[in-house]
Amino acid sequence: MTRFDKLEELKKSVKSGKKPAKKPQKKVESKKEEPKAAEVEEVKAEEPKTEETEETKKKKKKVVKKED
Amino acid sequence: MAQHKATLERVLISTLKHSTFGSRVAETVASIEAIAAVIAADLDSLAGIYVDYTADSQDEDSVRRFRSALAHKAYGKRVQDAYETLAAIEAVTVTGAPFTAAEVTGTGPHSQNLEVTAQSAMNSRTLGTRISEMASVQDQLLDGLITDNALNPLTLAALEAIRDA
Repeated sequence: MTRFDKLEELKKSVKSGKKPAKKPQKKVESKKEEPKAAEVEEVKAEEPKTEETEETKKKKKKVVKKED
Repeated sequence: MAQHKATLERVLISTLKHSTFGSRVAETVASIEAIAAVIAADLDSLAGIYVDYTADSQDEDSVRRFRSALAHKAYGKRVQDAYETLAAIEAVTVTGAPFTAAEVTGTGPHSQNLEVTAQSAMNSRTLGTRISEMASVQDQLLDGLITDNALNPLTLAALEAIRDA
């Protein structure tokens, strides 16, 4: 930021009746809580199993034929 | 396209083809506008006159010359407005009379260099002198206001922020 930019900002803040903006402070990252073991198990249980549909079975057969 | 509008500083640097001088003029204009804003916001301590000195120049000849020299309609007017604003503030707060070229010449070791640079960059002796006057007087005015004991703390802090920006 050049001196010109700072002066422009200062002028705007004076005109709007606000105090000049302070320098932004660095955010302190809070540690994420690890999910409990029970919750993880529940999530795994809820995952739907991929069932082989008729279409996937047909595709597999076609691949086998090509290899032959 | 408003978000891509070139700032006064960029336009001056580009048009005058002089990075340092372009920045100096842009800073001077912005500083004058900021001083006027501070005075308009809190003038209780400045002889009790609560006035916005920001000028809207009616000097069409000067405006036209600045517009031509800077190749920019809005910023040409803005520079002339700043010049007149400074003269108005100067007249009331420090010397009691508008500044003249004679008062400014030789005020500092670099004033001569600034004037020569300004005349060269602006391709005009009149406009160059006017710009160098403006820059020198603005510095003097700011220092004069800050050392004025009559200022209240809020105004003083704002002016110091302008000086130290």
